[in-house]
This record gives sequence, C-alpha cells and structure tokens, in this order.
Amino acid sequence: MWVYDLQTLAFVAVNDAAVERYGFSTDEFLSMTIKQIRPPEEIPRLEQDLRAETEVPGRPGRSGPWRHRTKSGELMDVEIASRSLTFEGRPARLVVVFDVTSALAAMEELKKTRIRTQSIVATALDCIVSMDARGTIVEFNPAAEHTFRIARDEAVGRHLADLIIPASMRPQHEAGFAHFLATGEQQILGRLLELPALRADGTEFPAEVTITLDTTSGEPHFTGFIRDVTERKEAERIGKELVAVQQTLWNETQEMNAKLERRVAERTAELEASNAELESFSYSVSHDLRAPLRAMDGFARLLAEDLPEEMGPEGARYIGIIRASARRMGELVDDLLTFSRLGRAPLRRQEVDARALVEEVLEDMRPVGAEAAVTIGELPHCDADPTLLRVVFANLLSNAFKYSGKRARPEVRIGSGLRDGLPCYFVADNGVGFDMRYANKLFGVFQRLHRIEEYEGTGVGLATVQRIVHRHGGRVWADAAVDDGATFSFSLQGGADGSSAG
Amino acid sequence: MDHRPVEILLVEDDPNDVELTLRALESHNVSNKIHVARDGAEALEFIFATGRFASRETDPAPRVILLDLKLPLVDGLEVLRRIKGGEDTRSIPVVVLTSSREERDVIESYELGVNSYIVKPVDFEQFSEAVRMLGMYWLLLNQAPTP
Repeated sequence: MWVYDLQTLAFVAVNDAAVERYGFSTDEFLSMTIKQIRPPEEIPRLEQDLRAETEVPGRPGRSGPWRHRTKSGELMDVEIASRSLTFEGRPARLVVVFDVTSALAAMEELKKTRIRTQSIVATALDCIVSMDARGTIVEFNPAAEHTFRIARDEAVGRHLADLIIPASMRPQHEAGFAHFLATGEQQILGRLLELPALRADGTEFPAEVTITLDTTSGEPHFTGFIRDVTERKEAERIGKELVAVQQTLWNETQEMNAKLERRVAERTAELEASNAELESFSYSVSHDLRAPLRAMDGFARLLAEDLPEEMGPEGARYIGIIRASARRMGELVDDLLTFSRLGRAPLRRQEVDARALVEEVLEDMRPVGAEAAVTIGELPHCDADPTLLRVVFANLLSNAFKYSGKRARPEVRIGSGLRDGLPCYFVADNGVGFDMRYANKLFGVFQRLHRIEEYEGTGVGLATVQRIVHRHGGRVWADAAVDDGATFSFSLQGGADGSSAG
Repeated sequence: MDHRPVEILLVEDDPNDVELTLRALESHNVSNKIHVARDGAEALEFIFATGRFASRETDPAPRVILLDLKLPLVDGLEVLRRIKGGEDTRSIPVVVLTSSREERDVIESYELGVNSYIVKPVDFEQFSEAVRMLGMYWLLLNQAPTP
C-alpha cells in the first residue's frame, strides 16, 4: 500500500508490507516514482492508463493485472485498488496492491491443462461422451461424431439415452441412473462393459464402454469412453469359426487315421495268417516229400545190389535214372523251400562291408572257383540284410564259376558301378554266356537256358537273387552274349516294384 | 519177442525207412539187437517198461535210441521230452533221425536235450553211410555209463 503524487508520480508514503514485498527501503521508495517499480516494457501501458484515467477492466473495484518489478528484479503480477485523495495539500492517489502472481500462474496452468485436455479429447480414437446429472450430453468428441454419425452441435444438449442408447436398453439405463442418483449405488462405474450402441441411422453396433464419474463441480458429471468393437467382434467370430473348422478337420483326420490303422491291422493279420499257412505248408513239404524220395532212391539201390543178374546192364541203367530222378527231386524240393523261405524272412538291414562279405563267400565256396582268376574291384559299404546279401553273392558267384569253368582260363570279376543312375554291384565272367533274346526267362523259377547235362543246377539261383534284391527295393540286370561271358548287376534301391513278393 | 537186451531202439513209422535203416545197420554189422517201435506210444511203453512191455528188463538200457519226429499217437518231440525227463532214462543217448530240416525242430530237440540231430538224406548211399557212422559212434566209440 502506498500513496503517490499524481503530478510527480513520486511515492509520498509507503507501508511496511510494501517495503518488505518490493525490497526497497522506505527512503528508497520515497526517492522513486511509480515507474521505477515496473519493468521497462510496462511503462507505455502505465502512461496510457494515466492519460485515460479510466478503470482498466479487472475484478470489480480492481484494475490490472499489472506487472511490477521488485528491487531484486523479481517480476510480480498485481491487481490494484486505488482512490484519489489529497496528501499534504497535493492531489495524490492511494494504492492497495494485491499480489496475484500465483493466482495468475495457476490460471495460466489451468488454461494450458484445459487446452491439453481438449486436444486429447479432440484427437482421441475412442469416443468420449459426457453427460450431466440430468442425462444431457455436454461433451461429444470428434471420434464420437464419426462413430455415431452425429455432429457435435446436434448431440450436445440432447438426452443421451434417447440418442445413442438402443431403445431396448433405455429402460434399464434410466432405472439404473435414477437409482444411482437416489442411492449412490451402482454397478457400472470403472468397469469394462460390453453394450450395444445406437448410431444416428438407427443401426446398432457392439461397443466397449467404460464410464467415470466426476463430482468436483458439485453435480455428478459422467464421462463415457466408447469403442466400436464391430470389427473385433467379427474377427473373434471368424476366429471361433476357424477354430471350429480346425476342430472338425482334426476330428476327421483322427477318424481317418483310426480307420487306416484298423485296416492296416487287418491286413497285417491277414498277411501273418497267410505267412503262417505258408510256413506250415513248407514244413509239410519239407518232411513229407523227402520220405518217398528216399524210399525211391533206397529201394532202387537195393534192387541193383540184391538182383544184379536179373537187372542186367539195361536194368542197371534204368535204376540209375530212377535214383538220379529221386535225388534231383530232392534237390528241387530243397531249393524251392529255401527260395520260399528267403522270400518270407524278415529283412534285417544294417551297414554291410560288401568286400569282406564277398571274400568270405569265396572262401566258403572253395574249392569251387579255385581255378578261376578272381578280381575284386571297389566294393563300397551298403545298407542291406547281410545274410540275404550273402545268398545273392553266393548264387551269382556260383553261376559265374560254373559257366566259366570250361574255359581254359576262367575269369570272374566282382565290382561296383552305376546303372541307370543307381549304385550297383556286379559279377562278371568270361564263360559261355547266353542269348539276350531269352534274358527275360533267366530269373524265372526253375528256368534254365542251358542243358542239364552241360551245366547242372535247378534253375532257382537267379530267381532267388531277384527275389532278395527286390525285397531290398532294388533291381537286377543281366547282360551277355553267346560264348562271350555274362555280367549280372544289382542295386539295393530304386526298384519300381520295391518289396514285391516276386 | 527177442529177449536179448536191446542195443538199438529204432522209433520209425515209415515201413520203407524201417527197412532201409535195418538194411544199413545190418550191412555194416553195426548191431543185430534192434527193436523197432512203430509209433510214439509203443516207444514210451518200451522205454518205460509199461503196457505191452511191462515185463521187459529195463537194465541194461539201449545203447542208443534212433528217433523219428513225425510219429503217430505220440509225437517224436514228446517222446524225447519224456525220455530226457525220466531219471532212469535221461542218460540214454537219443539221436533224432528225421526228414525234417526245419529250424524249429532242431532247436526244440536240442532244448529237450537231444544228443544228436541227423537229417535223413534222400540219397541212399549217404543215408546208409550216416546210419553206419551213427552206429559206429554210439555203439563202439562212445562210452556209455556203466550200469
């Protein structure tokens, strides 16, 4: 509070509060004018006001806000109440100063906050709709305009329930609202709700809603945040459908698998039964066919032994034929049984050192093949059943020695290579060979391309080889020329008919 | 019935095989003290001195039993089982002499304790030779336990 001279603008009286607030001593004040307690930029305004002698609008009875400056340079916002008077005979003015710095700062802060809030509300993706205690819309943000298809101007002032709540839900809403206003009890504030909402065109859409209550202004003020979840619901629905479809597919697959497994089990059982039958068949054959053959051979022999004179030379020859036939039949039976058994034996594949195996077979065959010049080339390891592979090589080598045995210099070569792109082993000889025109008969059971008196054998060796190779999933090839040797090759993979029971 | 102690019990149902076997044993002078049982039941009665052979003197036991597997009434393997199961009979050498080369017969026979398993060859010479060797081995070379 102070008094200043209207003509000189000098301070003529000042109170302790002013001294304390502004930092100038009384003497200093009394040597200053009112201009000196303002920052320079304020002075033109002061002068204007002085000239106009009008009340600058402020609060009733107050002018301002003005900006003053203390001795330390601190700026203050103030409002002034003043009155003209006469001081020591001269026209003066009495001034009461109100420091409104913090109030102004608070208002400024409030203004900023409000702007910030408004910008948030304006740019929010979710609809923000506020209503007062009477249920009237007081706020309707741009997102709400877009979602509900109603302009803000048309929404504000309307009864919210009538505008954006579907008719079927209105009674419930009004009742709940009334109940809350009456009792303060409610179930919905601060919770995530899923409710149908109403657009301007009368269509409804699913919405997620949260509602907050603000009571700072005395009356309840409700703000709802509303999200159109149509798309999400649709996506959920599609998702559920997909899951259902997937479940159906899964069930069908399971069923099909079960069916297939049942069928496989049935087939396996059939096969096993069939195998068992074959097994007992071979067993019978093995035993029951041999006994009569033995009798034939034995008694023919006794005939020759006991009754030589009665038989005579021709009789002896016939007896010889009978005995040879019996023995031959025994051989055929044995070979047929072996062939049959090899076709049914389980395949036990493992890594086999082919070279070692071939050397063993050659060793076991001795003295057969002892006169032949045997060359063993590179024989890589393979994946096969060693027992069966042994049979293959034994048969091929036996043939090779047999059919080259009449050569002056029998030669047998064993090696490996590629045939039709498949890795294969081969056994080649320089023997009598065969006519390729009949090559397709080679692998038949009991099929022979040479006379029995020229080369012995039952004709089941190659059939056995083919059977074993096919069971491994491989292929056999035969190449020869008459009187120019033969080469038999086989692979253990790449066969078209794989494991046929050939 | 021959009351001399039996040296060889031949259990065989096929009459041709009986004749050939006896002929082979004879021609090599292996033995002439041979009893032939034509089925498994008769074989058991003979060995255990029951039924029609109740009066047989079981001591000394046969030097060897030549046993075929496929027999009427009681099967060869069952006869083998009984022989090898009996306290007084299990030490009698049993040679299975059969047409069957089936693996399971061989395995089963050895599991039951057979002393030897011979497959009868179709060829008579070979058969005759096999019988001769059998006879020579079990009757002459092999040391039987003294009663």
